[in-house]
Amino acid sequence: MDNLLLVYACYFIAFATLIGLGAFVEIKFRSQVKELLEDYD
Amino acid sequence: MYKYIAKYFLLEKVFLFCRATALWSLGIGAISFLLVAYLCLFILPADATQSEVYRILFVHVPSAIFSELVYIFMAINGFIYLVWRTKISAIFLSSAINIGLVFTALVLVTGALWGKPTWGTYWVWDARITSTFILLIQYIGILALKSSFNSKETADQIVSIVAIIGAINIPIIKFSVEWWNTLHQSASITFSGSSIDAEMLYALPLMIISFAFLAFFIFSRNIQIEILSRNSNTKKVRELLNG
Repeated sequence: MDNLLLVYACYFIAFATLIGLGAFVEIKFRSQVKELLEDYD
Repeated sequence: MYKYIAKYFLLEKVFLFCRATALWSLGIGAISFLLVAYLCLFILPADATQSEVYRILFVHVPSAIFSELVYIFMAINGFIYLVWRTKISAIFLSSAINIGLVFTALVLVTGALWGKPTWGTYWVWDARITSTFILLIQYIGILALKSSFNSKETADQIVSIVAIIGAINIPIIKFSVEWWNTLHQSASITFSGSSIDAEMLYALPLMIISFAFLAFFIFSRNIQIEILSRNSNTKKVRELLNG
């Protein structure tokens, strides 16, 4: 049972890390676009 | 030949391609990861010797593959940048760093979590694990280097040189299990066959594909960020954002 929790933890860590980094770059990209559009206006 | 290839990598075209494919890539990657994870966790049978713990390998192995592939990609782009001075190669290199860093961290963490029930320890300083740890340090170093120069051009040059020199670690990681006596086992899948049963093996390429889609999403957004930050004052970027 302990080992199964370890397995679940690995999958969670992998998914959360990749989606987390994805969310980070998405937010960074959107704020950059917003900033540039404001500058152009 | 090179000019023929290069015309397909114009910044504008690359930006538009990334914009069109990024969110699709995220959607496909996230859904396929969840489906393949369900397959790996609940459908595949338990292993005869490792029982449930072997399921970690479906996350560990793709992370290991990408941690090395991303570095090779960076070194190749670094080389192209230094020889032909193509902006897009420097952008590709810069956009891949954090992806490689995350995959290398994942391979070390999932490897440690697999090692505890299998080897009885989270960590040993054997050749494979140590060389992978060095790869993590290389990624951190390159990321730090990239942001430590005021001039983007200087940063690109230095990062390219460091990426090329650091590529020596990739064959060391790959062949460490053959050159030295390591706790880490040698490759389970070779050109001559696989020691993993076919009943379990088919899930591995599926997980690699889902990782690739998620990585491509991050990569394409990183490329867009790089293109915007390097060309924010140009007319083309204004047109791209308004178009």
